Amino acid sequence: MKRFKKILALLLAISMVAVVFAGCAKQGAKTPKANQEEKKVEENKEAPKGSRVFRFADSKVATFNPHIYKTVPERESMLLFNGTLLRIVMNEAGDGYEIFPNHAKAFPERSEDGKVWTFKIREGLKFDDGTIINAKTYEESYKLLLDPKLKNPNSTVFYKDMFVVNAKKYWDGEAKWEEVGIKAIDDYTLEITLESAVPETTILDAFIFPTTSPVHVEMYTSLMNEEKTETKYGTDFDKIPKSTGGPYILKEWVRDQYRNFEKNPDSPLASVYKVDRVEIRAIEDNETILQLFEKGELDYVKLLGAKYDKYEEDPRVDFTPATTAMFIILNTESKDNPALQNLDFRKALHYGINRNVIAKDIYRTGKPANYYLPSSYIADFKTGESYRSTPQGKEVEAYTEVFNADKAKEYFDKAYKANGSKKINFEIAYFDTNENVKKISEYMEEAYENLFGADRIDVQLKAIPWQVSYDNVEKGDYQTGFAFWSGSRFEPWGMMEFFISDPGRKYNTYRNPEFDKLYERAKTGDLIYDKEGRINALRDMEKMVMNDLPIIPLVEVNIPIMFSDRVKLHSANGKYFPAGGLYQVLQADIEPLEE
Amino acid sequence: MKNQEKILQVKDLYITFNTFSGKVHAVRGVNFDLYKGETLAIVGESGSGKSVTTKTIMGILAKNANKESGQILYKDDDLMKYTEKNYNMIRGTEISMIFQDPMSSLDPVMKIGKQITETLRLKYGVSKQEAKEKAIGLMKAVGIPEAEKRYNQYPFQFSGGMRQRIVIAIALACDPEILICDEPTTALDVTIQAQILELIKDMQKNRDLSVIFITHDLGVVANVADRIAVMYAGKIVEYGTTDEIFYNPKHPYTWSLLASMPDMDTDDKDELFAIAGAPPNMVHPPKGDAFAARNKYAMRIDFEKQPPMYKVSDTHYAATWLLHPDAPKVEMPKILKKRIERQKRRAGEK
Amino acid sequence: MLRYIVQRLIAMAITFFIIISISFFILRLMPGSFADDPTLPREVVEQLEDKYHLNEPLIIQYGYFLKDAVKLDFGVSLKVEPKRTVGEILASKIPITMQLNLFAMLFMIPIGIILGIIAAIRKNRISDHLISVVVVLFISVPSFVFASGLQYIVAFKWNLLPTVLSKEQVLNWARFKSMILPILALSFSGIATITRYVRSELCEALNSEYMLLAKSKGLTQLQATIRHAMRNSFVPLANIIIPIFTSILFGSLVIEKIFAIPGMGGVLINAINAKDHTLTIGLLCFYSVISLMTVLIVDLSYGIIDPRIRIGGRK
Repeated sequence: MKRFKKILALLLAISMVAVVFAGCAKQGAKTPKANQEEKKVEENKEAPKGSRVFRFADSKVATFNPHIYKTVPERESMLLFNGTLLRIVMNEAGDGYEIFPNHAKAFPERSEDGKVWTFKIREGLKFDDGTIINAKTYEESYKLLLDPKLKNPNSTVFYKDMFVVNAKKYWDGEAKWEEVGIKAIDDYTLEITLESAVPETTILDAFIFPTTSPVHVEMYTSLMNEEKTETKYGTDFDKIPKSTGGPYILKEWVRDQYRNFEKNPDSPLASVYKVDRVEIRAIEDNETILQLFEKGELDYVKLLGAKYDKYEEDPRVDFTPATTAMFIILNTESKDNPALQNLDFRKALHYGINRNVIAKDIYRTGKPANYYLPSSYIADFKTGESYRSTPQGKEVEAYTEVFNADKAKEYFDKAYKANGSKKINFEIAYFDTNENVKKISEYMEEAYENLFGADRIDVQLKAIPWQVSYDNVEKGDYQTGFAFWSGSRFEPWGMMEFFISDPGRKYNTYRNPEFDKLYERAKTGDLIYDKEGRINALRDMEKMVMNDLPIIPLVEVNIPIMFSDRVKLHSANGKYFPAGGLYQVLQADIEPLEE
Repeated sequence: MKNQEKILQVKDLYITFNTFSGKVHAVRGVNFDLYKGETLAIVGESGSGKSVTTKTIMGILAKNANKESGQILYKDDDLMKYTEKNYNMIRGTEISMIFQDPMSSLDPVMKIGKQITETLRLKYGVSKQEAKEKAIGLMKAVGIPEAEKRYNQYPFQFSGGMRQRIVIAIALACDPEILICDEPTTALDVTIQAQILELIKDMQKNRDLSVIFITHDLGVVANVADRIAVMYAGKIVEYGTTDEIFYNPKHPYTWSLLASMPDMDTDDKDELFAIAGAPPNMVHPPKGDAFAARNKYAMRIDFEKQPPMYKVSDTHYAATWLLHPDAPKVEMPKILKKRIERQKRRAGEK
Repeated sequence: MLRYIVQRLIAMAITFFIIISISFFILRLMPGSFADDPTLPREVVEQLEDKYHLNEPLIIQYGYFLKDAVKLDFGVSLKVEPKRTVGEILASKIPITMQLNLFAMLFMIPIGIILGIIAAIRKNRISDHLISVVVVLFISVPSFVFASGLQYIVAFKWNLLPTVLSKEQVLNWARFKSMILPILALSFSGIATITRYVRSELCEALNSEYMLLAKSKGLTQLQATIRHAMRNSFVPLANIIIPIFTSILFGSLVIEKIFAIPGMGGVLINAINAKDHTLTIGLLCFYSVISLMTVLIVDLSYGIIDPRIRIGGRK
C-alpha cells in the first residue's frame, strides 16, 4: 500500500513535468506534413538583416476567416494577404487617394439604372498553392459568405447598405443560389445585381475590405463539420491559405503572439507597396509597446493618454484622425426630465460645455467638434477631399459654436422658466470602464452646475456598462447616453443613417421626414451620382441635426502616433496620410534593417 | 551496594535566567556528588531548580540562561567550560537524558527504529544492519514485544508506557555512563509507572549505570533511590541515604514533604498536612532561608542569614538552623512521626 | 485508501455537476449575447443567436448542452477565438502558462524554503528581520507592479533581458531568457507565502521536545535541525505549494499582458465579457476539474507524507 502511494505521487510529478515538455515539443513540432514548412518557418522567424521590414504591435487576431472577423486589427492583417477586387492607395503625388483596381481590372461598370455592376477580373491571379482565382472563385466565395447554415455575420455587406437581389432570402434559407444576384458570367466577369441603385461609394466600400475577398473554396469546405454549420477555415496557420492573391504572403502566425508577412511578387500591387516584410506582434500593454519602440524593436507606436505628454515636442509625432464620432445622445421625449423636450435646454447644454477643455485636457490631442462628422470623412473619393474642408462642411461648423457661456445661460434661463422655475434634474450616464468618458461626465457636471447654478440644475452621474447604455437608449429608457459611432471613411452618408426615422436599430429620438427624404435621395435616390448634390445633402442633414440637437457632439479624437526614423513616408507633406488604413506606410520607403 | 567512586561532582552551581521581569536566580549554589552505579533522586516542588540543574549538566539550557559560577566535574573535565562541540562528544555516549512526556519527546514522523539507531550510525558509523540488530536487542531489553515488527512503526502506534520504553532504549543506545531521568513517570498511569521504574532499575543493574532521578513524587523515590537530595528554591536543603531521609528527616521542608503525602494508614480524623504559601519569587531571592516564610519552625535568624549544611551523619546533611547547637529542640510533626514508626515496624516485620 | 479515493471522486463528480449547472444558468441569464452588435439589424442578430439556441427557454438550452456535453462536445467558441473548440484553445494556451508555472515553482520553492529556514534559525536576529521585510513587501505589492518595474528597469533601462516573450517556439536559451522576468514576477508572492510558512513551522519544530531529546542523545544542533525539525515542518508544505501551482496555472492576467505572453491569463474573463457561452462553460469545466483535483491531491498528499494519517487511518 505504501509503495502504491509513493508510485502515485511519483506519477503525478512526472505527468506534470511531462506536460511542460510536451508543451515545449508541441510548440516546435507541427503535423508531419508540415516538416518542410517548418524549415521555412524557422528561416522566416526574424527579419534578415538589410530587409525593408515594417514592424509594429497591435491587438491579437481572433480569426482569419473573412466571413466572421470583427475587429480592425483583423481587418488590417487580412488586407495584407487577402486579395480584394478594389483597393484604396495613396496617389503618386502623395496628396490624395486613388482607387487601385486590384483583382478587378477597373472600377466596375454600372448599368444605366445603377442596379447592375460588372467587374472584369484580371487574369493570372492565384492562391499561394497555385489554385487559380477567377470570377467563379469569387462567386463560390460569396455563396459561402451567404450560406444559410453557416450564418456568417459579415454577410450583411450584401443586404445592409446595398441590397443584392435575394441575398438576404438566401441567407434566411428561403431562396436558391441561382436566384441570387451574384453571377460569374464567364471565367473573368463577375456581375452583381442590386434591388435598387446605389452610389459608387457604396460599391467601393463593399469591395475594398476582406469580407469580399476570395476564399480557398476547397480548403474552406474541407474544414467544415459534418452538419456543415461551422468551418475551421482561418482558425489556425495551417487552416488558411497563405495568400489569396494579396499583396503579401502570410509567413507565420503564432496565435496571440505574432504574425509575419512577406511581399508577394505576383500581386498587382507589387509596384505600389515598397515594404518587403511586415511583422506584427500581438501586445496589449501600451507601456510595453512604447518600450519596444524606444528600444528600436518596433517602427510605429500610438501615444495614448499620458504617454503623449512626454513626446509633445518631438518632431516625429504625427496624428491619425479617427473616424469615430463622439457625442451624447439626448432623449428628447424624456418623461423623467421634461426639460429635455425643450430645445432651449438642449441648446444650453450644447453651448455650455467648453469643448476645448475636453479636447486638450482629457484627450490631449482632440479637436473640439460642434458638428457630427469627424474630419476624416471624405466627400469626394476621387480627390480625397475631406468633407469638413469643403465649403459645405465649413458652413455647418460656423453654424454653432464650440463654447459660449453667455448664450448657454440665456438658453438655460428660458428653459428654466418653461420648466416652471423648478430645479432641473439632469442625469448623465457614462460607460463604467471608460476613464475618459468618466472624466468628461465629471467635467460636465461641474461645468453645468457652475454655469447655471447648482440651485437650478442638479447633475447626477450614473456609471453603467456600455452594452447596457446602448440597450437603454434603444428602449427609450434614458436621459442621456454616450455614443461612439463610426463608419467607412468614404461613406459619410452612411453615418447619417443614425438619424433617420427607421434604421435597423434606433438609438435616438429624432424623427424628421425632411431629413429622411434627403437621406433617401443621397443614398439611393436621384442624388446618388450627383457629387455636388450629395455634399449639399450632407450639409443640410448636418444642419438639421445641429438645429434640433437630438445629440450633442463633443470632440474629434485624433490619436498621436510616431514612426521610427527608418520609415520615410511618401506623402506630399511627409506626414501621415491615412490612405486605406496603415497601408500608406506600405508605400513608404523603409530603410533596411541594420545590425 | 555502590562504589565509592565519584563519577560526577557538582560544585557551587549558580544559574540565572534573563527574563522580562528580571533576572531569575534558579539555582543558587548547588553541591552534590554522584557515585558510580547509584541512583540519586533529586526531589522538590516545581520551580525548585531541579530540572535546571540537570539541564545544565547536559548542556541544554535555554539561550537566556547564565552560568554564573560553579563546576561540574566529570572524568577530569569541567563541563561548565565545555563548548557545544565538546558536549556533542559526550551527550548520548557518556551522559543521556530522558524526559517527562514520551509523546512529545519522540519525533512523530520518524520510525522509532530509526530514532534508536540514529546515534549509533551518526556517532559510531555503525552499518545499517548492525545498528538494526542492536536496536532490536535494545527494544527487547526494555520490554517491547514483537520488536522485529515494531521496529518500523511510528510513535503514535505505541501506548504511553511503550513510548517511554523506546525513549529509554534511545537513551541507552550508545551505552552512556550516566542516565538523567527528568520526571519520566509523571505522565504515565500508575501501573505503568511501576513497570518503568522496574525497567530503569534493571537497566542500571545490567549496565552499571549511574542514575540521577528527578521527581516530585516521594513514593517513586522510595522505590528507586539510593540517595536523596531535597531541593527548595534553588538550593539543596537536605541530602542523605533513602533510609536516612525517610526515617530521620531533619529539615522542616523535608518534614513537610513527607508529612503531606497521604498514605493508606492516614486516619481520616487526622488533618492532612499542607504547606501553606508558595515558593518565593526567585527574581529577588530572600537573603535568609528561602523556606522561612512558610516554615512554622522558623526562627528570627532564618530570615536574616542562610543556614549552612549541618552534618547529621557521614552521609546525611541538612541546611537548617535547627541543627545549630544553640537551636531549640524541635520535634518533627506528629503525623510524620507516627508514620515513620509504622513503617519502621513494618520494615522490621519483613 | 482506495475506497476513500473512490468516495472522494464520486463526491467530486457531483460537485462538478452542480458547479457547471449553476454556472450555466447564471451565464445564460446575463443580458446581451455574443452577436450583439449595435450596427447589425435586430433580425440578423436574432438569427445569429438562434443558430446556437440562445433565444430558447433556458431548460431547452440546458438540454442541448447536456446532450452534447455527455459526448464531451462543448462546441466551438463563439467570439473569443471563433470556431475553435475549447480543447484546441486550451491546448494552444496551456503549455506556455504551464511552463512559466513550473519554472516559477522551481524557483520559488527552494528560495522560499531556504529563506524560511534562515529566518527560523536566526530568529529575531538581523537576518530574520530583513527576511520579514522582504516577505511583507512581496505580499503587499501586487505582482504586476513588480512585473512592470522589472520590465522597465531590467529590460528597458539596463537592456539586460528581452522586454516581451520571445518569438521562438521551442524552449531554447533565447526563449528562456525572455521568460526570466515573468517567472520572477510570478514567484514573488509564492516565495513570501512559503517563507512565512516554513519559518513559523520550523520555529515551532525547533522549540519542540523532540529537538531536546535529539540533542540530548548527542545530535548536533545542525543534525537535529535537519533530521528532525525540518522533516516535521515540511509535512504540511504540500498544502501550501499545490494551491500556489494551480493559482498560477489559471494564468496571471496582468503579467501575461505586460510581457505579451499568449497564455491562459484573461481567457476566462474575456469569454465572460464577450458572452462567449460555449467557451466560458468549457473553461469552467476545465478549471473546476483542476480545482477539485487540487483539493483531492492535497488531501491525499497528507496521506502520503504524514505517517500518522497514512497508517493511523487504518486503525
